[in-house]
Amino acid sequence: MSGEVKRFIRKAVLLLLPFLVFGMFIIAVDPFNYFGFSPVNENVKKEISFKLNYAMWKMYEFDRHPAPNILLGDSRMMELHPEVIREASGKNYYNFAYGGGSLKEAIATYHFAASRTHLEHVVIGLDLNSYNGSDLKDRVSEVLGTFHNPFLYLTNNTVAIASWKIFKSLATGKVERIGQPIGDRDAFWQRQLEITARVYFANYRDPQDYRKQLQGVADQCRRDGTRLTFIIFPSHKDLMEQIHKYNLEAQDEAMRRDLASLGIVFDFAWDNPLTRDRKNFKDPYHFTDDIAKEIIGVVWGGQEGFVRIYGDTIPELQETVSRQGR
Amino acid sequence: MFFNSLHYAVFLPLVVLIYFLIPPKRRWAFLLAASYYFYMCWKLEYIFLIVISTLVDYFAGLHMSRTENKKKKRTYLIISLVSNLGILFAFKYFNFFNESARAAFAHFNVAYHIPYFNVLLPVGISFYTFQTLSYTIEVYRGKQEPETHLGIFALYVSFFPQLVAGPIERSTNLLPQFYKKQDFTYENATNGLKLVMWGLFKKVVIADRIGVLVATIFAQPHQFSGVEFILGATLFAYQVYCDFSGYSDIAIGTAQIFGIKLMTNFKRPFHAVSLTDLWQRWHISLSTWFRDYLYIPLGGNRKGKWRTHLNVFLVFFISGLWHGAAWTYVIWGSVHGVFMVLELLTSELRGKTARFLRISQDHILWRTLGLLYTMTIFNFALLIFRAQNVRDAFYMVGHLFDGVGAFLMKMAQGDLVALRGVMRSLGLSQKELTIAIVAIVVLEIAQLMQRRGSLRAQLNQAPVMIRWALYYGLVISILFFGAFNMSQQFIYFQF
Repeated sequence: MSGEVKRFIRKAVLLLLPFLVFGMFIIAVDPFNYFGFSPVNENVKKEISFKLNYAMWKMYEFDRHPAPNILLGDSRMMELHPEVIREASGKNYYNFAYGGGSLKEAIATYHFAASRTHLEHVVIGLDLNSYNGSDLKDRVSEVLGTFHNPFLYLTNNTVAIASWKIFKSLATGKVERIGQPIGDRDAFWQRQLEITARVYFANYRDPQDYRKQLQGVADQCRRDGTRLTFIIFPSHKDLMEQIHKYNLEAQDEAMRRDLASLGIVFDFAWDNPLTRDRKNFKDPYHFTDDIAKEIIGVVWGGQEGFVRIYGDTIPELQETVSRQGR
Repeated sequence: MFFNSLHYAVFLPLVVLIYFLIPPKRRWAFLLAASYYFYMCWKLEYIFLIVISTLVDYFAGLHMSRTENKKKKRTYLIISLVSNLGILFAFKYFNFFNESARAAFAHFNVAYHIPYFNVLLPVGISFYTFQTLSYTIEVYRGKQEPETHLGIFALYVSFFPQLVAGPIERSTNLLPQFYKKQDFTYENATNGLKLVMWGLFKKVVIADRIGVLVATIFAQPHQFSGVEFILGATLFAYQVYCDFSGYSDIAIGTAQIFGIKLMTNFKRPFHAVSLTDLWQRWHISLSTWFRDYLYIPLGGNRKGKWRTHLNVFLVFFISGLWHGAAWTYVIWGSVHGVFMVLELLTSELRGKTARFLRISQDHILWRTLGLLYTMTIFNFALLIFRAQNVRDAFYMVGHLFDGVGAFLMKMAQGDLVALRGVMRSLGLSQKELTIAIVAIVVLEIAQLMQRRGSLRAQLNQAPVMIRWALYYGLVISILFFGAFNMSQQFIYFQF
């Protein structure tokens, strides 16, 4: 071997060695349980990794333990706890919703879940914020790619950050807090109305693709014998007024018509005592835990509540029903 | 097999290792086999097209050299041109002209029966066709000795680093290098790898990352407005530059590991101060090909002012068609042709204006204006180039300024909600935006440094700590910020 070759190999090893060590470190910590043989405490991992990337955590988890019933949507759907649903319905559900989730992610997640197991019931939570052609957030594709390619997991920057935070938590004995506290409730409430709602509604676009993709989901559900349910979550009247402010009433109605043509719709987002009372909400978007239980009671327990139910797949529910006897 | 794939990461070291282990006399055969394998990874049977081109041009070259009869020489040249361009036409342009004719006939309610030719475009066909044509033209002109070794000639046509997207090499540069005994050298290997890494950075960290946003905008332009179109065109300029120059860097770097020097294909095109300047910096191997084998044979600037202008326009018109068989490419080429002619027509006036203003044409203000003008025209033309069809292109051009004024007003008032709306509508997170911006800033800094000479030369003179910090930084960026997941093939493969 010539001196030139030896010199090259020496430098190449020097360059690559830290990356090999880093790869072994990721495999050892395995923050999202991709490989499944890491000795690191599961709770510490969940506390950090789960919050850093909901999609990654849940997709790997579901891949290991598929469930026949799934909940899809955003942070509001995350508030519907499977244990409470099990009490109401007697069935096991997997909460496959992501904080800040988009409909694009929900649809991709549905296809992922359907490719893993036979689904019996799919529940999608959404409203006009997410049924919006201008919301194209997608954290699912990158996770899907890792299923066939461990290299993508090892080099994922969220995996690297999670590994480091977990390592730091284990070394210091103090689990790092992910995310920021909301702070002043009134200020946050106002910010959600003035900024977040504007981001959603001022840029509202007709969701042509979502319409087609949801139709595809409904068709596949029909073929597979899967029940498809939509929940339009309650939001505070302050937020619903933003729909009027941005002249999106027609789009709001069109969304309901679109969804009703695809499955059963439980619509909580209309003017009623529940949506009028600020106590029922943490902020204009997010209802409290008590309301979450009420929603579960209505959807899975057959209880009465402030809901309108419609849909064309079950004949007796073709008419709009309003039950207000809370 | 893409340069940005694991497949290539295994293929390249293996080929390098075996290449330097086998006796130098047999290396051409191994490199040829590796190149054919590289190409066959896309579509096995298309290797026959390369073999046909190789055989036709090999024998055309030999026969041309064996005769002094000009007519016979020309006949062999025509055989080469017709065969190569015939294959190119059949696989790349037939459907375009056929469908255009069908649409025209339908417009006049006339029946049209020539069927659609259901065939996949062979990867890199325009590149290797032009490369092999340059050989026969040079032999015809007597500037290149005919290659008698069929294997070496086949390697010239199919050398894998530059086979599918250039640089379009000249036989006078590449063929002699295959005869030289190349030893493995530390300098060649490390300098080559540095260029490969830099090319990968441009491809996976910048081009593929912003490519997702660009694809979103151009897939459904009717969903977007002027702000997104301007953003889309600007980002596409970076995407296509990083994608293509990234490919060229990887190709040149890979060849250098084998001790083979390929021509430079890009010289900081975004620092050009006119379109004329830009085309001397962008895809240089194609620009010079058109200059040598089309513009000059058409008469160049030797046949008067108006003929020169016509020749310039024709070169860009055909260059548009070279890029793709679609009207959007033809319009793109024509837009460049028109502005190139306008530059020629106004060159005297611009000189007078500069003299009147008493500033040199190298003055920073003059250069800045030139740069703004160049990038505006270049990006505008790219909007048409990237559009899915002519209808989309016209829609985007027609709505280019929709909502831009209001958006700028809001931004000027410090209202960032409008920007958040745009980001959300493109599915862009803050993290992705930050990565893309930082990567583009790194690219621009590197390009500014290139004004002082080769980056690698500057790097080699830097203190060891800085050098290694940069190497690690580059590898970390590629591994952790590269959009491998959204991995797309190189844009120029389709040409």
